Amino acid sequence: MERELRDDPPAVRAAEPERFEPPVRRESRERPARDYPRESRSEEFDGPGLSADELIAQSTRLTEDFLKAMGFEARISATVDGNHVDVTAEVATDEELLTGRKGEVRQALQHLLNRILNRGEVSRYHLQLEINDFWKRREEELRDLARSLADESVAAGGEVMTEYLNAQERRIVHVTLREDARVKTYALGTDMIKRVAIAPADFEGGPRDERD
Amino acid sequence: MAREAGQEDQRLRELVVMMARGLVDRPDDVAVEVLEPGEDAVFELHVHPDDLGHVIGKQGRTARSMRLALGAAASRMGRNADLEIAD
Repeated sequence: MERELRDDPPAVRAAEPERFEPPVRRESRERPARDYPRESRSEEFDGPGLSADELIAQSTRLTEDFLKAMGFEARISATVDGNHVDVTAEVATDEELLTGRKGEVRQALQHLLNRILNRGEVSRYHLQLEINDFWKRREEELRDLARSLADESVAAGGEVMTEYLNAQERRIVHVTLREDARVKTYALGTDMIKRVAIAPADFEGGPRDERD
Repeated sequence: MAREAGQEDQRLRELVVMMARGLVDRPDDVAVEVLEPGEDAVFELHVHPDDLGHVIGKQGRTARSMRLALGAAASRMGRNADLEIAD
């Protein structure tokens, strides 16, 4: 007789929820990759990949199932460019729970979705997750921040620093100030999360590991 | 004596099961235990030893990401939740 699951080790495998649907894996032996000229960008990977429609369908379903398991009803849409898929989840309430105050939850969800989508392989597909227009707003915020730090650095004649940012966020700072000849930018730190330093172009310092 | 795990504990437990099964090569070996049910729930994830790297990730990034996802789902219920990985 089956009873409600209790807080002892789950012995009832049959009651486990379904696994997130993994992408369809095709053996590379089936067909050589060159049969798929559309996928020419991914020649370093084994075998042919998903078609654009398959990638959209799988990313959409994966994201929808994931957010549903988290208790969120979201409207999901996706667009594909090569192996890059942009997924947007529109939620009406509790957006900040899905993004995190500094975007750390959005980043975590994106990481997990990518790991699941690319299970068992090197990262072939890159899924970019947008929650409402969070990343768009974050991007604008980072551009403003970069410009004001550049002014500050020039005025002070020395290095100024951002808070700790992930790679995608740091890229915005670097790119925003690339055209600003007054300053140079470089990363400080060793981990995935680093800070960006902004310094006058003739400043002596440069990229380095930070030691606490 | 430990309190029985309620419906919300089970929903959070299922989230962890789904995340873990999506990440591993051996989904049948995934099991999640509710170590401590309730407002500050603690879950323990068991996977096949060969899959530990898949649920932990480089520099612990995947484990950290699962904790954040679990935390967000728990917040939605007005609760907290933490995840331990058995090794």
